[in-house]
Amino acid sequence: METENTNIEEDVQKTLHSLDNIQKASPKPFLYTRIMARMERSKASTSNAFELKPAYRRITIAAFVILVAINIFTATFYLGYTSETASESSQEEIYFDQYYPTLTTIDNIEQNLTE
Amino acid sequence: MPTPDQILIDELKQGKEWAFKELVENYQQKVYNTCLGFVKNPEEADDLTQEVYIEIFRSILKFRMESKLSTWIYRIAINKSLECLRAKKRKKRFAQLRSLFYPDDSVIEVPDFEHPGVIAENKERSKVLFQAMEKLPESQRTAYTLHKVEGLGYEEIAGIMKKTVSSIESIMHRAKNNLQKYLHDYYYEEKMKTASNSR
Repeated sequence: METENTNIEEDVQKTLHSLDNIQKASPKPFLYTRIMARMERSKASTSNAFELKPAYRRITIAAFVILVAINIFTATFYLGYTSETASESSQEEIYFDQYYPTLTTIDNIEQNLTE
Repeated sequence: MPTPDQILIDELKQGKEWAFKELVENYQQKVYNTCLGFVKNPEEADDLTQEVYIEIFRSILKFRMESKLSTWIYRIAINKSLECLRAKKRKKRFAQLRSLFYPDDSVIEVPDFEHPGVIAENKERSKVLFQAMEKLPESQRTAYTLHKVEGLGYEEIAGIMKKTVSSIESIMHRAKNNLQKYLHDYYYEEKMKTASNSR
């Protein structure tokens, strides 16, 4: 058991020293050329930033159309709702006025009675 | 009297192409070797090296010579390498999660890495060490890589990591302890496997 532990410790120490005297690795040749080419590609792609690929263009247009349709539908629905509620509320006002008359209404009734 | 680095930086800030080319030639081995020590893949290291130089080109006007040029370049290389490792970790986690729902999708493990600069008799052991280094926390891994793979002294590492020398000594001490522990467990498991196979 002790021998086993000693062997394991030896392995650990040898592995820890396996990077001693390591030589530095070098990149592939023509790194500068590759960097310049990459910078050129990056410039070209940013100048066309607003130009979409055909597939993305179709999706964007479709999404835009759907969005506009939703807005039109919502606007129409809301306007219809508000005009309905406006007529409903004016009906409500009439009923309210009949059963719970305002002072103006009472004055009008009194005036009519005296006349 | 301005140093060669100061002259180079001034010319770089003026956008002189020859200065950029000289910078690439002078520092490419440092940058590539540092990136390789982190990502353990020559193609990725090459890709990262290009990104480091593009970042240098874009940020040179912000460099105020508060540190050495090499220190600044090492910092960019380390940041890019660590960003790459974090992105890979996120991808791996997503792939593992996906494999729970799609069991046929297997998570591909990165093969063992052989650093081209390691001497032949140490190649197998160095693979084990690089795997163990992956388990270290970022600061320990950075300090250990810069010291062992890039061959930098503690003072230079302290400048790059913006820490004191004693802080780096402490980080290295913890890194070595952790690596000893991981390696001990590794070799113990290997011995157990060998013992059970021989029965």
